[in-house]
Amino acid sequence: MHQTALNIINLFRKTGSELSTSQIIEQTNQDYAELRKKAGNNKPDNLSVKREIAKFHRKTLHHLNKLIDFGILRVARHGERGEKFFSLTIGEDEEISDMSPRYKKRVVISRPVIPSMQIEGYEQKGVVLRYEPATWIDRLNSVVIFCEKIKDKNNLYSFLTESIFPIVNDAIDLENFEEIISVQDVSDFLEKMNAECGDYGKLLNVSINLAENKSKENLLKIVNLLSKNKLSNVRFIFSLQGSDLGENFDILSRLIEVFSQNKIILNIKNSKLQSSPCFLGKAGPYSFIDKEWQLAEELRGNVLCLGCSQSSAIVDVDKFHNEHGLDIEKFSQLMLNISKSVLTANSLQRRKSGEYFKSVNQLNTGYEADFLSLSRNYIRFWNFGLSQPDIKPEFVLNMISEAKKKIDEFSAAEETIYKSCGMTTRFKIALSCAFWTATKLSHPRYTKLEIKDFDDLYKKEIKKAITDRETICQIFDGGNEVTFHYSGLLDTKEIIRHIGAILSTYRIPLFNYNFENVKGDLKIVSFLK
Amino acid sequence: MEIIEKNAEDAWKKALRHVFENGKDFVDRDGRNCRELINLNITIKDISTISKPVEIINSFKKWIYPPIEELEGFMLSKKEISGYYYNYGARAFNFQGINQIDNFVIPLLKKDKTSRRATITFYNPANDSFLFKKDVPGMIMLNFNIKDNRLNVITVVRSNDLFFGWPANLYQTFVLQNYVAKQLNCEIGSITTNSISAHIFEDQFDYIKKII
Repeated sequence: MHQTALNIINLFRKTGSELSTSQIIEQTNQDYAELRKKAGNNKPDNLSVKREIAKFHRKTLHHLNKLIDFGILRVARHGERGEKFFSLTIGEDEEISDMSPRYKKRVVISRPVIPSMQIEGYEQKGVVLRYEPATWIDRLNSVVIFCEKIKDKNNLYSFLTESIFPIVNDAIDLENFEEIISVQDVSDFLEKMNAECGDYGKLLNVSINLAENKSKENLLKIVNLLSKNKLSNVRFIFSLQGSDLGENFDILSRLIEVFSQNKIILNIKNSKLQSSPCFLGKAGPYSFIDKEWQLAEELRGNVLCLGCSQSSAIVDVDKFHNEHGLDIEKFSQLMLNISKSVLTANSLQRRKSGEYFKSVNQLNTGYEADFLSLSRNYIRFWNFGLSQPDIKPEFVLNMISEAKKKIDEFSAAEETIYKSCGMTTRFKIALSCAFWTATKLSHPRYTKLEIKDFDDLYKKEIKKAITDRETICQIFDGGNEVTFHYSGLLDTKEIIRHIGAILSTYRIPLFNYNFENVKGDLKIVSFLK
Repeated sequence: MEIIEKNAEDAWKKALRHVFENGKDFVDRDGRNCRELINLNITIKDISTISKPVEIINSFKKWIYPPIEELEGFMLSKKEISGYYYNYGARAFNFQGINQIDNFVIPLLKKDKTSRRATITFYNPANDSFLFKKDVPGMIMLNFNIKDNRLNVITVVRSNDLFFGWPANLYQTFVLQNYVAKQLNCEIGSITTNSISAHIFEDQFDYIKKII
């Protein structure tokens, strides 16, 4: 890059405002300033001085025009005597690289320095773990894509891999995937996405509302694909309510058959309990506040995707117990420390959101601020006392509930502060369980409860066990997962009956069936995890 | 009511006390108990301790107040920041393509130091005047005027939480005042805030009592 051009750019960098042609000439050419000084401030009579001055003007204008051509400067306005005023066209997060023969703009993605946080001491002891700490600020945990907005599978593939992968560090939910199935066979798309998700470390959720699915044929093609390829990086979430079972009996039977043969987890979402998305990541389940989902319904005509979770931290309750005992005060303080750390992360993320989420903002044009309008942060719990003999589960759940009140108070106060400062922003923290796949956690300690047959579901102790899970689902407002481990001989009718009973009897929004232990035995045995 | 004080801390304390003792109680649309005074003017003559109210809020260590650099960035960012519903910087420097500061206020006051036209607006009826909109700018407009080579600023705030909001609004106003003053080679003058609704929330009464 020519020295004069560099001087001009540096001048703008220093002043950051509009500059007139004469200001630029004066401040970028030492000789010109001296020449003007020599000539005095009046118009010089001397012809040679005049020529020299004109030469400086021509030279500077040449470089100014070149910088305009290359999109680095623009004419901001014209002054009183027609003099041009220039300004930079590049933003704070861009810099110019000298790439001959043409100057080019290069976007520099800067990662902010993360300040020290009040959870670092707990992190060192393994009590608290930030989920994906390397991308805690510049990526979201999870997003939801509205499939009706992008029905073509090739476009969806490009969108996911090019625009969504770079901004997500855990899970992607394809909501209303039945819209895509209705118009095409998506087997190749799912295979490709499964491979991509494996390479890039993401989990893809395919949410299918069985009652709305218009092409059983294409759904069966997916089921057939699953009989050959387990698609281990894809989770299928089937939305159902009790009344949908009869109409979908055949397809459900086939699903159960293939899922059990191939040891694939079958996830069921109770759409009567939860209309908003509910899906799974490596860190744990994700969900939205159902009451707020109405806003998404209003937005979905205009936006392609919505952020679901921004930053997550995981608390290993077993390790906390070992370190501090079950001190409610200490636990609540830890929850507030995590909340403050998450707020700091959100604040840094928000300031750079135009940079970090540029690819999505371009697709949500006009609705950029709505991208995070329903998102939350997560505090997830691991080993929270469902099997440790020395820990009463009720006590731990009570401790978590008490802490949740303090977290909600803090979050509400912060929203008030930011709103009062004219910087209206959303700050919400959801609680949920963590999955062992999230990060290095202590060995899982959960009770397996045996259910010998269908009628067991109505036995007092089993009912209590499932009711306990219901309570957890209510405390964990960020979503929870209840797993039924099946073993023994597969009886699809029995499982569908079981699904129907759970859907109609219990307030469990998301539950699943793990067929890992299905054998050739004659007895159906299920476990609750 | 008009409060004129030398520094930000004294003015803030006096304003809080005045609303606390003389405000009228009501319940807002979010069900929160508020105490309110209509049309409160607060003038600060000396801006050297402009961030003191922010420091006092931070001293409680109960909340996380937006850091000074976030307040500054919010005011000087010429681009929309997608993480916020609106930002004052973009409205000041790029209000539907109009740079109200660099292309109007600064040249106007350079040309005529006595001008009374150096006003910018943050409120955009085309964007904000809708019944369903909840999140619209609190600060409506700023006026810059020069007296004795000192740049004074008056800001009108339609709804002003005096405890949490005013310290930030004051600092944000100062950020623009400082930016313009540098371009004009002026000294920094006074800042006046005109709060149409100056209010405090019952939730913060205990902290307010500690401050006043």
